[in-house]
Amino acid sequence: MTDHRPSPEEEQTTANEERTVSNGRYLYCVVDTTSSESATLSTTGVDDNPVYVVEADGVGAVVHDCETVYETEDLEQVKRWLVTHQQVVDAASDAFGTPLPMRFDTVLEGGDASIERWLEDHYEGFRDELASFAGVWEYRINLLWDSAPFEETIADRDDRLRELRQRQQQSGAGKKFLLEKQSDQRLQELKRERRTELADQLKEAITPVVNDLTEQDTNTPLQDEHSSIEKEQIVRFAVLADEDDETALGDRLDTIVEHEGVEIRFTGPWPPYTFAPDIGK
Amino acid sequence: MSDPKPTRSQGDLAEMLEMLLDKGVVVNADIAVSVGDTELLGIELRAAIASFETAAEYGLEFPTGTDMERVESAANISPDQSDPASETQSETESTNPLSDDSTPTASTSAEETK
Repeated sequence: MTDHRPSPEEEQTTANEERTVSNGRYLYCVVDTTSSESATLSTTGVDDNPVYVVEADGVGAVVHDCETVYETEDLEQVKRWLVTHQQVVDAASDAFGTPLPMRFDTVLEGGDASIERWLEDHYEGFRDELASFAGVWEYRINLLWDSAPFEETIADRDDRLRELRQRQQQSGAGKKFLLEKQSDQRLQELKRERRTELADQLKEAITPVVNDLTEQDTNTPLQDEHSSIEKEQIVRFAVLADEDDETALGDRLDTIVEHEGVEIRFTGPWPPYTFAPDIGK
Repeated sequence: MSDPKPTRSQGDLAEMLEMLLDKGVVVNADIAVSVGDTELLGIELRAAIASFETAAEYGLEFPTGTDMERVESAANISPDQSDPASETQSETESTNPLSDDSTPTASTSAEETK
């Protein structure tokens, strides 16, 4: 991870200059502390800092003390921070139920007193949001498709494609080329239709058991390397579902997996990252 | 196929990291000095995260008591993942409830961490 682009002098200065924070608190999430007997959390956070809860009347901010914001050009370091961040949020979820999860590298200034004031200022909003997310989690659903089995059998079911292929076999070179092109176009069209059909079926299947659903960009640069190479990503949903509906959701996904060439990646439960609203002004 | 469960395996980390960088509550407050400004992390990081290895490489695991039982049952891996006598790769593959024929995320990462 040393292959950085050449830094102009200006950039170098920025990179080397640590942004110091006065009495900073790195914020992981906001939780409902009334859901637990004690409003404490003993875990270690980003950069081995002890994590604790700043509480104001039943609403708690899960924080650690920090003197800088978390910036670095060392990518391995950032990855470690991200994983640790999530571990803290998981521990908070275990202790207090569904949290309102902050984005990575949210740092507030002014110490515990400042955090308490901030919690009090937005008290109603926090109570409402925490109540609305109680017992619900985010799940991620990825629909992947290997079109090979479909391509092998589609000509049996599509008259147009079958006809094109038959004529192709009986034609001379020039005509054959044209027909090849046409049958390829027809195949692409059929594949497009199939993709839409699969995505629609998935959406229809899960909608009754989720509270909210948003389609995510399939061209994300953050796709992991474990996605299978042969399979293309058809659609990606983030859904919000009651934890009691998790099994029902899984069962419905199972009906989609029965289609040929289809794979579903179903992850969760996650804190409602995609659904939690921004807080403040 | 029965009892399909969501997974929180190490192979699902890329999804988690994306959520942490792109989603999550943004705090708009005067006291916020850094509001999850992921712009500063840059394109480079995003590219690197696309090839995020596994948490195990950082000596990290999801906290105990979180969802490990769920993860294990979903991935059909034995509770002690470090046990060399644990189930083989092919077994975990074929018994994953939500995968028809390709490698599920959990077993992919299990293989890589060996």
